[in-house]
Amino acid sequence: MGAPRAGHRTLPHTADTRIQAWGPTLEECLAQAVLGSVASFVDTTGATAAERREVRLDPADPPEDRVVALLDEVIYLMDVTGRVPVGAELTRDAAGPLARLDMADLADLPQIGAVPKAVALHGLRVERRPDGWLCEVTLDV
Amino acid sequence: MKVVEETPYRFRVEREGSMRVPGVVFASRRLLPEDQALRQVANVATLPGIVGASYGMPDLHWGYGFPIGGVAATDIAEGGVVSPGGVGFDISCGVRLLAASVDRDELRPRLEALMDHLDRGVPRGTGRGGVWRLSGRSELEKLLHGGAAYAVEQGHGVPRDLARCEDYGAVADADVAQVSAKAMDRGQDQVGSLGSGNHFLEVQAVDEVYDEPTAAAFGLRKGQVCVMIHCGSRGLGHQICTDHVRAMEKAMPRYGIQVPDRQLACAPVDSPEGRSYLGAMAAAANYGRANRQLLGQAARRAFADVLGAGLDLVYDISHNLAKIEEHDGRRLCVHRKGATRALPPHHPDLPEDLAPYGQPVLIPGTMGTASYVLAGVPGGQAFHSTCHGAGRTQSRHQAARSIDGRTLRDQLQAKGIAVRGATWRGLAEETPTAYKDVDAVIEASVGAGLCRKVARLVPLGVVKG
Repeated sequence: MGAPRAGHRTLPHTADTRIQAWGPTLEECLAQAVLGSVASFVDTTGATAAERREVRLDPADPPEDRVVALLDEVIYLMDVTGRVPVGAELTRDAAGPLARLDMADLADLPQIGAVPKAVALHGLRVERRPDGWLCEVTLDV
Repeated sequence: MKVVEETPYRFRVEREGSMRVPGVVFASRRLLPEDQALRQVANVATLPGIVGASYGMPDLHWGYGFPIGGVAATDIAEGGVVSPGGVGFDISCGVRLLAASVDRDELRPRLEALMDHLDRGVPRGTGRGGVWRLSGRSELEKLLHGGAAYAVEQGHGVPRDLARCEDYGAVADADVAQVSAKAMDRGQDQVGSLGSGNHFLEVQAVDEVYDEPTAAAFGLRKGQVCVMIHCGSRGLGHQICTDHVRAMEKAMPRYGIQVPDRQLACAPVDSPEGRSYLGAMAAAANYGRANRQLLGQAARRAFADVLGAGLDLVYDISHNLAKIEEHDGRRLCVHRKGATRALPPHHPDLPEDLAPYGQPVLIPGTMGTASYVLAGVPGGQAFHSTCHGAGRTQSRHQAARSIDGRTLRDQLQAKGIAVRGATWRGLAEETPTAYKDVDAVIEASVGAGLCRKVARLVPLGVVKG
């Protein structure tokens, strides 16, 4: 993958948006998947967060289901609060994995692509590689 | 995978592996899609209880689980399943067509003013809110039961609208208890909004009429101005699909069901999970119809204010839905994902004044090209189904790389088409060259015996989500 060690990009998909994210740890990979999903449809350059939200993930979920649950929550929050994460950090406490999302107002961000409305299970990939983790997920737009 | 050409418009995907029925794709050789979509036709053929064939329409393309342009029916008495993936995320996504009391020549000097009014009056893109601010959760529940009929009851439209909606504006059996709190939250403030992606509101003109009596019965004549609205059930429908796919994935082992793609998760129609999904799906279908009803009202206000003209509803029809239907004495659950129901003349579900002509079918094309009004035919194939649009061939990436949004706007403007996009990038992603040739799709649909042509519509103005 080369430097940087953590990042994201969009991949070609016929009708929808496909995100690829990577990072040295699963947590960083998932955080990049969040940022990549948002960057696929709004320009987050210079965005400032208005609040921080915490999203609790199920420790029993396999990595694939964890990324789906996290992105499902991002889409839900976008629809009901009008805010999207412009910063993401995944940690773990006694209760299990936890995502901390720095949320910015969508109205302040220029729209540059189609808005995600759901996370598809088709073609979902989360895998450990020698240099870290790789995730590919398709968002329905 | 072996694909056999049976006729110039019908290809058979031979049964292999765990396929229970063959695949049948209605297309010309030129339209026959990429391997991934054909593989998805084959995957759908493995669903428990599937009857006849796993069908593909001429605009077939790669989706999730089901292909887009897929039709599959399961026999309920034989343990047939319902799969939320066979309906798609955007439950009851569909098309509404209204016909104006003015002709294109009368509109021309006022087109820009009309488009500016529509630009202001049609919520879309990332913006929150819709045309209708519901009073609260209980009003949303009423809307999920009553669909467009509830909207009309509340003054958003006229009673005649409902006679020109599929299912008279509302499907029965909506079960609001099966709609999650998250889905309700997402739906609360989006009634009367386009969304983004391939959704649009277009001002069009009837460019050609192929069948005068049928066009007249539908309320269309050559040169007439129309409004076409393409959108669905917004966040609420997507959340319902998401929730019920997850629930069915967990339940499948109990029913001994295995599927080749997670997005094909399913459960018997006659099971708690199957009934729960169908109840929630019906609620989303009603939301989709109410959504289009409200957007139609926004268009009516623009026409009244700018032109002093009225808009009559031609028809409103979904292309993402599952329906319990009777075919050859069997109760089937017919999934249409990116496919449109096309009932033959004199079908009992048609209103009396349309019955002699067959069900109106509305096919949105792409921005620079054409849209079509079709009608169902006797002996229609695939449980009376036909295509739903042009079908994408290019990714959004490729489309956006191929043309800049401003250049596309200028090109369309030069052809006399006024454009009001939410974003330049969004506009470029929907460039007409990203889609199959809609004329070829219609030719194949007619050639395969799925429908017949009634009228061709061309765009004059586009409001893009």
